[in-house]
Amino acid sequence: MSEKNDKTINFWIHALSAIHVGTGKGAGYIDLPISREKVTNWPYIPGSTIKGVIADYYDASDSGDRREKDKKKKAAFGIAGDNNSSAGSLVFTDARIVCLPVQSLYGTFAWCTSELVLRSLSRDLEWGKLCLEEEIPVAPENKVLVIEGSSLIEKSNKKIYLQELDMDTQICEKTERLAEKIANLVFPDDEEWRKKFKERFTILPENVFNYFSEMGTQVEAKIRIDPNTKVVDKEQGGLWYQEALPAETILTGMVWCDKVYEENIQAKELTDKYCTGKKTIQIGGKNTTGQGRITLSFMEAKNKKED
Amino acid sequence: MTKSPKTIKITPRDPLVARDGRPFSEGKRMKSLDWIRPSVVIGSLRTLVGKLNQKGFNKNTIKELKDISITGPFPYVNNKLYFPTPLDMVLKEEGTQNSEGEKSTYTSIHQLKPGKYNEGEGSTLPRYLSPAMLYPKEQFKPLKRPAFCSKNQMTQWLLTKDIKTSELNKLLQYNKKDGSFFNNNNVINFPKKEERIHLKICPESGSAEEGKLFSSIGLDMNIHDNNGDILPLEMLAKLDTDIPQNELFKIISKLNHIHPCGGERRLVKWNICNNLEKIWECPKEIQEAIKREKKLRMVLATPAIFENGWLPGWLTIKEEHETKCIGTIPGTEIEVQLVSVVNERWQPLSGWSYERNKPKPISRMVPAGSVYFFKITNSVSDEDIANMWLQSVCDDTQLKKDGFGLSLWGIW
Repeated sequence: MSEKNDKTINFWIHALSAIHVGTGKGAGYIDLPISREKVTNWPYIPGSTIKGVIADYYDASDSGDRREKDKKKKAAFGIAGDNNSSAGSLVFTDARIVCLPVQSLYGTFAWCTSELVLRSLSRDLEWGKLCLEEEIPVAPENKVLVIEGSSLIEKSNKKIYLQELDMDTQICEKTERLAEKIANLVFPDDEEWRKKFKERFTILPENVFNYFSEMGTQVEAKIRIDPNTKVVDKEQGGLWYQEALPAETILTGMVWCDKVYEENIQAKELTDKYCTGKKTIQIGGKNTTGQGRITLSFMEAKNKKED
Repeated sequence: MTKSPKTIKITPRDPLVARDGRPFSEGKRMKSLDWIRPSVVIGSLRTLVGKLNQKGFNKNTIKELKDISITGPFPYVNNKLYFPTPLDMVLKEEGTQNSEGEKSTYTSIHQLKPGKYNEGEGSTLPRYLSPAMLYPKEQFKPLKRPAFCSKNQMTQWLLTKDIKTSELNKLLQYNKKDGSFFNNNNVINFPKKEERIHLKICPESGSAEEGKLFSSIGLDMNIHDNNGDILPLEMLAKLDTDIPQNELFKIISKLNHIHPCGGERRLVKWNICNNLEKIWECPKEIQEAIKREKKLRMVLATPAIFENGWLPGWLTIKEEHETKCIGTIPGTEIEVQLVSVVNERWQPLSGWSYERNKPKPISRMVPAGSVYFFKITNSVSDEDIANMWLQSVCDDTQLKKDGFGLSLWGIW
């Protein structure tokens, strides 16, 4: 397919505040849990959520006649309905976890990932014709991989202290090259953040990463105050727990632009308009309490191979 | 026929939405199939090829696209191909106790095969059909079967005449806790289903719109292996065409593209593999066994649609009092007599025709895994046996090309 007719662009999400993309009601002790993948149980943000907020950012929500009036909006996001419905050409994938921030005794927090997460990232980047171009190292049992000069290590015993776990570390060159590569993709224009990212980057054994992805998210207890009495509302103010992805979480996904059926509009026009640059945007629920502030950066491969 | 088939690997990025025909919208829950229909996969692939052709969907293009046939898709995990578990395989949970009193469970396999009524017994089956009986004879509540068997395990099962002499019992270990099976990854279950609740935010109020709540379900295409590691569950299919100068088929030989498959436009990578041709061949030991034996077993690897419900159109009921059902296996000269059938309740198939821009009529399918037992009444050639492996036994030409009724063969 020529570049005029279809296009794939990777995007990165960097959480500036906690993100609550929920599933409704939970069955466990958390009343409002976040979305998780069924098999890996890792947190993710559904593609439909990302599409929704991008459409809203460009005032192209599927409401009123916003899309009917504007051909590009219609071509990009589609129109629902029984008679004149048309599918949008922009297809957003789910955003998958890349690095989960975990509280660290040294360095404040660690950007944690695992071999399987990185393999999944590598596959995603390949789909978008970007490439990690690095061999993915595997953390040995009970050891975590860090870079030389990591700010996470206690200097005397070379251990790392993540939440309640302390583990031995191993300095790894491959990890350093990977950290450099990911830092360049996530923070292309910010050298200071690239440095901070690399210092805090760590590859955990699979089971340790799984533990943090389940137990290391942000869980807050909430109550409702009766405005008259200034104490807990006895009727509706019950205690509930809500979960969120912590600030500094990094996720990735991609957007694919299908053949555009609207006349005189090319795929490139749609991606150039709606899937470009870096935006600060709000995503998910609980936004009035400051949650869901993210930067969403679209990144197209510079040396895109012609299909 | 070109006979230059291509093997394609299909890798879903996100959970695959495999819907049935039931409507879903605000307030209604989506229902998901356990496994995607072959027609959905070949439909998406034909659309992709048509788009790559860049000449629009005219009559000739549609004809050439519809001529592209699919064998599959079958699960492909860790370089192993999997087929649906045959319905003549019956699993029983057994228990043992060691000298220290510790209890453990394992799974034994029983088989269904044609038997005879005892004196005083009977059924409403047609007279040309023998009842499928359980061997060894025992009364128990069967365990749920695993969804798919590896090609190796399927080959062993298709060569099994008498379960007592088989080594198959050792192959399965049943995990009672989560219903999964562990046996060196010779079987896998259906992908797990992931339900999502969607709502619509009103841009004016910033809150959820009243009544705009619905759910969708996707198949999470990752599975846990024996060691608890997570592996991608990919799909493998073979593509071919009967039109010698099918220009569109040439596009397939270089396919390495992204295109949606199934509902909700979830993205899938379509990638041609050039080193997996042998995976589609009939195992030698099966070819030899069929030549040697006169009892033939057919297992449906994909659901089938026949002219006469569960009975293929190429089988005819003969003689007075309907005591015989005979026919010739499609694409071969092998003449057979139907002896018995093991199947389950029919499954519905529908879809949307982009060609006619309206829904397709609902068909009733014989489920994948159904087993037909035959007796061969003439001699068979090596070529015939090789040709019938994974060929469609459906009656309609287009259904054959759409991947329905693919057949695996063995003895009984």
